[in-house]
Amino acid sequence: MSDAVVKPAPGQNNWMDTLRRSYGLIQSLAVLALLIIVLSYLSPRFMTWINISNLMAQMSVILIVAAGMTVVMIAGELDISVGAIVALTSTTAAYLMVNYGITAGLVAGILIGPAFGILNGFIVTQFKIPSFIVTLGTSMMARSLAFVVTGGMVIAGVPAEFKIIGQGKLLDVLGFTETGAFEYLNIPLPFLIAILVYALVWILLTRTAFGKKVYAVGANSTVAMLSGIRVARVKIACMMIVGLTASLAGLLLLSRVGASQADSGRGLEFEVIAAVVIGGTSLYGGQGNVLRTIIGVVIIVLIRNFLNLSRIDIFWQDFATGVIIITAVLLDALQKYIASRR
Amino acid sequence: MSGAEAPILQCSGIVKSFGGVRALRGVDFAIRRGGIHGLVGENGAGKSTLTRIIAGIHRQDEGSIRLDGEELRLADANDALARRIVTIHQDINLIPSLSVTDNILLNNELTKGGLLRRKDGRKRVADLLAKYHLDVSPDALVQTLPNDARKMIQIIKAVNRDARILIMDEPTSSLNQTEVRVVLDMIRSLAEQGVGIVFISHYMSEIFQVCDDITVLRDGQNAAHLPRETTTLDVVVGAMLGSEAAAAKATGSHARRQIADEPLFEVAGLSAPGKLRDVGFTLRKGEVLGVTGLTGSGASDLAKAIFGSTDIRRDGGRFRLEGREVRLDNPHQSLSHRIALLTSDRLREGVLPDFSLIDNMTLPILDRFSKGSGFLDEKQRREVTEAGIRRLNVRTSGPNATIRQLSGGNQQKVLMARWLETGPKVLILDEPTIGIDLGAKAEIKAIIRDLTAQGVGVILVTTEIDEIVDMCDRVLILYRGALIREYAGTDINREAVLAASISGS
Ligand SMILES: Nc1ncnc2c1ncn2[C@@H]1O[C@H](COP(=O)(O)OP(=O)(O)OP(=O)(O)O)[C@@H](O)[C@H]1O
Ligand SMILES: [Mg+2]
Repeated sequence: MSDAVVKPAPGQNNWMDTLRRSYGLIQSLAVLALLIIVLSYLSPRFMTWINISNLMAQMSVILIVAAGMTVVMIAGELDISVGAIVALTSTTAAYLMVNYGITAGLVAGILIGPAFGILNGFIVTQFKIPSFIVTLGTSMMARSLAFVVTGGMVIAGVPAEFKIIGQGKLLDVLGFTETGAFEYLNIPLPFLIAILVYALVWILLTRTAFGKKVYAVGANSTVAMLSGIRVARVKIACMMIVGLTASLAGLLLLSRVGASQADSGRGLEFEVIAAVVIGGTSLYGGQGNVLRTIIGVVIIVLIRNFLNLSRIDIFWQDFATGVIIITAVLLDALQKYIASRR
Repeated sequence: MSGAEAPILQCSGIVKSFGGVRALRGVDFAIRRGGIHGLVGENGAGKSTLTRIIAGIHRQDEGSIRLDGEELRLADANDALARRIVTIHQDINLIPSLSVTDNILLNNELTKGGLLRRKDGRKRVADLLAKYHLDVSPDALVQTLPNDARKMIQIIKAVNRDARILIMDEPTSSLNQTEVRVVLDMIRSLAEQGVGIVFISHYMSEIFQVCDDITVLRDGQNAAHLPRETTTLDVVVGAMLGSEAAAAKATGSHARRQIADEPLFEVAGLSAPGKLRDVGFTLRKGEVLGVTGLTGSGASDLAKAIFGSTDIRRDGGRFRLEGREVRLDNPHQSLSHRIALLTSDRLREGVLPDFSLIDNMTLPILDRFSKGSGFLDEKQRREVTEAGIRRLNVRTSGPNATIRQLSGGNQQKVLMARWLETGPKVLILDEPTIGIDLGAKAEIKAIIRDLTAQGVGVILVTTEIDEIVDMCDRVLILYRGALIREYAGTDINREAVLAASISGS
C-alpha cells in the first residue's frame, strides 16, 4: 500500500471531465445567449441601456427572493409563502409609513419575513410536516393578513425619501447630473442591493461552517444529525433567511411602486422556484450554487420580456412560460443523466 | 468442478479508467459453469469495477468479454439481467419504502393478464425467506429492517432471478455467523445446479470454504490465479499485499493486557421501547469493550442510543463520564463530551456520496475550522484531511475527490478517519471493519491499540467473533435488548460467546 495516493495519468481526459461537469452551466449560459440574440433581433430597443436598466430594476424583487430560496432548497426544503410575505411586508410597511413614519415601516417590515420563517421552520422541524404544506398554510395566513391591513384598498402616499431606494440610480443618487459616457454605471439601486445580497449569500454558503452544514443537511439529514449538526436549527435558520429576503424584496417593491396592495406578489413563489431549479439547484436538496441562480432568474425574466415583445396573447403567456420551465428542467435532468453515464 | 470445460464468460485484457484513475489495467477473468470463483484483493484493487463491467453498469475502455464464446456488448444493466447475468452489488440497493415482497419481486413480478398475483407473490417470498432461514415478515417495510436482514434480502432477490452467472460482491460483509453459513450453503447448491458464481470477500476463511479457484487482483492487475486445492492462505495473502512478508502483519494477535480499574464512562438504566431494556455497564479507561449478539439483539441500537441519535426514542438512561453526570440527548451534546460513534451503515448513515473527502472527513468538526471570524480555514481543513488519508492509507486521487469515487473499503476508512479526528475519549465503533481488507484491518487494530494506550475507551459493537476474541478486553452479550452476560479476559472464547448469544442465557 505504498502508493496510497494514486496519481491521475498525465493529460488524460481531464478537460473532458471538467467539460462534462460544467455541462449544466454551459447549457444555461447557452440558453441565455440564445434568448438575448432572439430578443435583440425581435426588438431594436432591447439592447438599449434604458431597457436593460429597466429590466434590472424589475428583476430585483425576484432576484433577491431567489437568493433566499436557493438556501432553503439546498437545505432540502421549500418555501411557497414568499409571495404572500412580499405582499404582507409591503402592505404593512406602507400602512405604518403613511401613519407613523418611515422607520416604523422599515423595522416592522423587515421583521415580518424572519418571524414567519421561524414559525415555518419550527413547525417543519418539530412536527415533521413537509415544508411545502406548512408554507402553503402560512402563505394563506400571510395573504389574509395583508388584506386585513389594507382593507382591500391600495395604500398610497408613501414618503418620497423612501421611494429613492426603489427608484433611484447609482449616479443620480451620488449627485452626478451629467452621466454621459458613464451611463452604464447608472445602475438602479435595487439591482445593486440584489447583487449585494448575492455576494453575502454566496459567502455564507461557501465560506462558512454554517454553509457547509446547510449542504450536508440537505444531502442527508441523518448523516448530518449523526455528525453533531443540529439539523432543526440549521433548517429554521434557512427558513428565516428566505423570509428575510422576501421581506427585503417586499420593501423594495413598495419603494419602487410607491404604493401597495394585498394582491402583489401572487405566483412569485413559483417563478422563483423555477429560476432556482433552472440555475441548477436540486429540488431534492444538497446541491446548488447561488450565483447560478442569477442566470436562472435572468432567463425567467427574459422569457417574460420575450413573450411581451413577441406579442403573444397575454392569456397564453403563462402557458408558454410553463412549457419553457418544464423544458429547462428536463434539459437539466438530461444533463445529470449524461454526467452519470459510465 | 472440471476445469477443462470452456468458460461461459471470459474477460480478457479489461482496462478501465475513471478520469485519471486507472482502476483496471488489463485483467483476465473466466467464469465456468458450476464453478465458484473467488475474487480477492486489497481495497481499491478493482474487484467491484470488474463486477460492474460484467453487470453492464460500466463499459470497459479496452479488452473483450465473451459470453458462450461470442463477443458481449452490454447496453446497460438490464441487458445483463436479460442474459441472466445477475449481480449482488457491494452496496445495498433496495427500495426502503417498499415491502420485502415488493423488493424481492421488483421487475420480476408474478402477473396474470397484466395484474399482479399478489397472493402468489407473497407466498413465493414467504417460501424463499423460510428456505434461507430469514425470520422477517414478507410484508415488513425494508426501511424497518436491520442491515444484515437487508443484505440477505438483496441476496435472495438475486437468487430468485434464475441466474446463469451470479456475481456476489462482498455479500457476507454485514452478516452474522449464522447468515454467512446460510449464504455459503446457498452458493454451493447454486453451483451444483450449474450456476457460475463469482464470490468476493475479504474473509479468507469464507473464500477457502467455498471457492474452486481464487483470482487475486492487485492495483488493477491479475496478481495470481490459484486453484484452491493446492494453495494456502499465506500464498493468497502474499499475492494480495505484494509480498510474503506482509502476511505476517495481517495476522498479528492482540496480547491480553491488564486494564487499570479506573471507570471512564458509565451507562445506567438505558431503555428504548421495543429495542433496549434497562442496559447498564461501565467502560474503563483504555479498555476495549465488545458488545455482541444476534440480529435484533439491539447491539447497534445500543450504540445509537448512547450517542443520542434522534432516530431512537430513549426512555430512561443516565450517563457518567469521568465521574461526572453528563447529558447525551443528541449527537451534538455527545460530541461536545468527546463521545464519538462510527455507524455501521456506511451509505445511509455515513457518507455524503457527492461531497469531497474534505467535506466528509471534517463534517463533525466544522466549527473547529471557523474560530473567531466565522470563515472556514480551508487550508487547515485540507491538511487535516490529508493527514487522515495518510493515517488510514486511503487510496484516492486526492482530498478533493468525491467520496463516491472511492472503493467501498476506502470509504469506510475515510469514515474511521472522520471520527478519529474528533479526538474522542469514548469511541463507539459499530462494525468498523465492514468491507475493509486484511491489511487495513490490522492497521485499524493497531490504531485502536494506540488509542487505548492513551486512555481512550472503545466500545466495539461487532458480530464478528474473531474481532471479539482478538481485540476485546471484555465482552457484553445482548439478547433481545437486554444484557445477559459478560465475559472478561481469558474467559472470552468463541464457543461461550456464541452459545450465550444464541441461547440467551
Ligand atoms: N466512479 C468512479 N470514479 C472514479 N474512480 C473510481 C470510480 N469507481 C472506482 N474508482 C476507483 O477505481 C479503483 C478500484 O475500485 P473498486 O471499487 O473496483 O475497488 P474494490 O477492489 O472493489 O475495493 P473494495 O474492497 O474497497 O470494495 C479505486 O481506486 C477507486 O477509487
Ligand atoms: Mg468493492
